[in-house]
Amino acid sequence: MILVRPDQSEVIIEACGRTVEDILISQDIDPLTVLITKEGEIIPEDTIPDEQDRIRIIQVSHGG
Amino acid sequence: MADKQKISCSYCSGPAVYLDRVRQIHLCKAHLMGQVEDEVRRYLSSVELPEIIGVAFSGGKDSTALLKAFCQIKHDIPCRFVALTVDEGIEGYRQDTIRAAKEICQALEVEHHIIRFSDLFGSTLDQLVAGSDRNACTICGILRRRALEVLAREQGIRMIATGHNLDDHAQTTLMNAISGDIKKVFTGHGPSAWYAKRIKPFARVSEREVTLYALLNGLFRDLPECPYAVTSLRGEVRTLLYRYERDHPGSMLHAATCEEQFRERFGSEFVREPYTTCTVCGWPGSGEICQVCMVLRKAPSDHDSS
Repeated sequence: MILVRPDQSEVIIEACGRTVEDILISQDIDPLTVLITKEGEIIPEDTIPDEQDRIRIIQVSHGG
Repeated sequence: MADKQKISCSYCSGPAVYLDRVRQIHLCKAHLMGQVEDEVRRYLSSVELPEIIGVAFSGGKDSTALLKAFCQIKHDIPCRFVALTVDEGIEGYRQDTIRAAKEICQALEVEHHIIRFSDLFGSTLDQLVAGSDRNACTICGILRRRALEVLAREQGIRMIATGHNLDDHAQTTLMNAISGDIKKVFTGHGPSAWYAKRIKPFARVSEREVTLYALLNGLFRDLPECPYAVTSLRGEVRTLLYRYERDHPGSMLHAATCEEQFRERFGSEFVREPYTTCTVCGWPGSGEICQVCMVLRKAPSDHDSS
């Protein structure tokens, strides 16, 4: 699957049946600081993506 | 809980957009939006409302979501509301957010008033901090509070609703504990007839729910971040709390309500310092000279001219 970060950079990741939450944690992204979309639709973080999915991250919390 | 196919709402067959980790349920768009609006309705029903409420409206996601929620439930609340925006004068940042604020108010058909630091204080925030090592966020916070009060008074508003959410409250609780400043827990001063009452209708709504509410209403914009935002104690506390929330769902709610319970149980026993009248501007504050006048006295332009 492809993970699109908030800065629009893309990472190819093997989902291997993991949830989006587990994948985010493996990428050092706290799942509670983001929202996730797939094909333009918001999905909950316990969704298990397919290998061909394109998952986009929307940042919720900013610094400061 | 996990489903390789689409996950459905716990209340209907609609596709889930949100996992409520505390209640371990999924919500679709309609139920998430309904839950947020119900919470705002519940909060407002617990407050004695005046004829008019000012919504502190920066144009960011939290205040945008709050304004939208007010619009959605306006037939259920016995008062009208207007949007109040403070333009601090931050080059390369505030122009975009002010434009967004104007567009949103126009789209939502909400009366909108803007006050500018440059008009009220004679300087923008950029000018006030230029060439000094003063903390922009501290100065901005002090002056923005005054600006909002001035704007509210001009409009005859005695109650201001802010977009502070559950995460903000939990962070503030922990920060107060870390700093050990008990005055902050009990809000420092006694009630004043001078200042407008502050209410926080999103006090029980998480930042993710607030953001999702704005997003699902087509009102979320990826606006630039304030250039003065730096890694701070709040940032560290936020990271810590999210970690706890992930491992122990409900931690943020417990932290936020913990301070409220302290205030309710011991607030009457805590001796608050009364307001004093500032000898420069005549506004109530602490000490002979209020924080606003202290900030303005130290403005670089004053040093330049001396």
